[in-house]
Amino acid sequence: MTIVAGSLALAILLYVLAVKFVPIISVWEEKEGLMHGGRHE
Amino acid sequence: MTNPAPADGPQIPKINRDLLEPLLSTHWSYFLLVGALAGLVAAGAGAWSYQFRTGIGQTNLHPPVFWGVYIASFIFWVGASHSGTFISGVLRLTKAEWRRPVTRIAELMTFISLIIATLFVFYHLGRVWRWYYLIPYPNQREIWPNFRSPLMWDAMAVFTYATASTIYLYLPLIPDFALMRDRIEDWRKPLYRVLSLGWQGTQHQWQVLETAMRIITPLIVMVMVSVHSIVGWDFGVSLVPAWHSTIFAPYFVVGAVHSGVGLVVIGMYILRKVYHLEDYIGQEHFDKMGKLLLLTTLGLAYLYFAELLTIWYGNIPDHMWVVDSLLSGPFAVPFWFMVACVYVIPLLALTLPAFRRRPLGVMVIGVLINIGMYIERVLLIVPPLSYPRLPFNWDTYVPS
Amino acid sequence: MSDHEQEPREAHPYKWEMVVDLDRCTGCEACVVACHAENNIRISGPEEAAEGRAVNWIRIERYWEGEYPNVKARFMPVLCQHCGNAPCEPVCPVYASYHTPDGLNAQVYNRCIGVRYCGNNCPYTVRQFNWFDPHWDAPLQEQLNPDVTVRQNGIMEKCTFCVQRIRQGKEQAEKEGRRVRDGEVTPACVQSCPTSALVFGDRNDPVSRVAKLAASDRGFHLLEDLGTKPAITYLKRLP
Repeated sequence: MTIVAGSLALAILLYVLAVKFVPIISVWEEKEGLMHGGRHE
Repeated sequence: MTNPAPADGPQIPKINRDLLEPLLSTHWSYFLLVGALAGLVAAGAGAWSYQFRTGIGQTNLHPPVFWGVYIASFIFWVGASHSGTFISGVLRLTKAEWRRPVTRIAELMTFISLIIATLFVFYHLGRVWRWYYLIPYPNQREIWPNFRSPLMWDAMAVFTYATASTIYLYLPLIPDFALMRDRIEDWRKPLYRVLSLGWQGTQHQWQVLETAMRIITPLIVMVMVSVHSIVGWDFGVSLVPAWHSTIFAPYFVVGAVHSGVGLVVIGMYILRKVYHLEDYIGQEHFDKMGKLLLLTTLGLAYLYFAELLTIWYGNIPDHMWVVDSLLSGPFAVPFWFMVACVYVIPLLALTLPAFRRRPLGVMVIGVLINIGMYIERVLLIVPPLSYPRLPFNWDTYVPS
Repeated sequence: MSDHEQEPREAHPYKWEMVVDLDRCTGCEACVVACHAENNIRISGPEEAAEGRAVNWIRIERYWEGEYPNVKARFMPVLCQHCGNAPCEPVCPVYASYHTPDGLNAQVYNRCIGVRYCGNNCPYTVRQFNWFDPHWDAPLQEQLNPDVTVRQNGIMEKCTFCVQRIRQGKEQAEKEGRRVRDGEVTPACVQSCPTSALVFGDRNDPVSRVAKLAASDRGFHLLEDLGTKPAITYLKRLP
């Protein structure tokens, strides 16, 4: 059980760390979306 | 900044500012979270080293149940990895416009889930220090791994999928790495310089990138379907009553997408809340994700029903022992809880358009689905193993 | 491995089989004890047994027949069936479970990495796993059989038909330039069975006891509808 919980924590940890290294929403794809008639509220 | 998008309007600077914000400023609670998670990871590592030194017996497994929570977790995490591919791959293929803010969240999940899934293979092995016997390396004794074994197919499938999804995560990241290389002036800059591969945003570079994406997107969708089919065949090709079934491969794939989409919804909700991305991830995205979840709920329920109906009507004793144990036997409580979490509640809630537009609600459904799917994975493994064909050996198992 | 291609024995291979006469079995479990002594099977204490981890390569399954008070205990010794078409073999990713030319279902301890698929896929549940390192309370470690490997934590093991005795018998016969005689090789369980319920021998030898008994019309195989082609023939209990 500890191993399973630890692995879940590792998954979240990696995700949390990744957020500091890559933009979590693809910047260029968002901009490309604008070109296609951006429909953001 | 080099980008083919027209540089008019105030939106471009705003997008840059908003989306790079999480990388530039860090709240103190972030470090608290990282610390807490690292502590849990350390506890898990300690538990693993204890199991390593003493034996797999620490898992409470005992005959006839040779597989337990580790394999269930493996399936769950491989399933979770289907989030990225399904959302971003299928939606890219169909050119669904609303995918844009969701793809990266999902692809990152794929990548990380696969790392975790692989770890579970190692936790599971009895002699993990001999794991390299699984690799077809030339050796003195001329022994190769057994390519007839579904576990070998599995190892290869997961490895292929991990490689492909790493590329798939990386390719659309290149322009963003270049952007960060130009925007971020700290210790990460050299890293981004290397990772952006000299991206300048020329017309030619964009064409190459788009061609590459067009090639890998359909490929990875196919790999995604095959990888969980193979995980399903780990069970389907065996002789174990209630595993030996042709429905396992499609069932595993749909189940994987079900929990994967659920995970993406959770990720979307949390990231949107924490980093104030309401301008990018709107209600319509939760609405669309809710519809996807509805689709997978129905698909999965259909397959599950087909499976149970065939066994129940066929009434072969070896198989019925398992089904009885689920419907009304010792596994009935987790079984019906699972049915509620995975099928009933999502179906009731997500059919209401008003509900789908409430991010919190959809997120809660995502959590329920994932809890339910995890239980489902355990129930898929343990009850069939608990009722081997010779009734003398019946026994059950509770994870430690 | 002595099974090189150049050896002429390939032309007339042995096929080791066993016959279990359920009519003669009294459920005394002498076979179980003999097997433990011969094959260095770990000693499982009461705790391990309660956890369902007691390792036995041969076990006596006990089924109750009839309603009280006319109830009868039926015994059935179950050991590895050494299937001709064994479900445990193809699923092993590292060839730890493989088929010998003699028809034995061998387990290569050195090769096993403990994925345990074979244990799941065996319909007879005869495969045993080493959940921890084995230990023997003193002075039991003094009686370990030097011809048999002690299995470490993390690997699968099961009945070998006492392959060490088969090897010995075959080597002796080879030295004397003949085939193994019927009854020359007996696994520990067969040797110790007081009622001779267990008979072992070469099925390819038409005059061996095992070949004659296996042809009896009382004969059946355990779960034979699965198509595993077991090497053990059970003889039905007489009414």
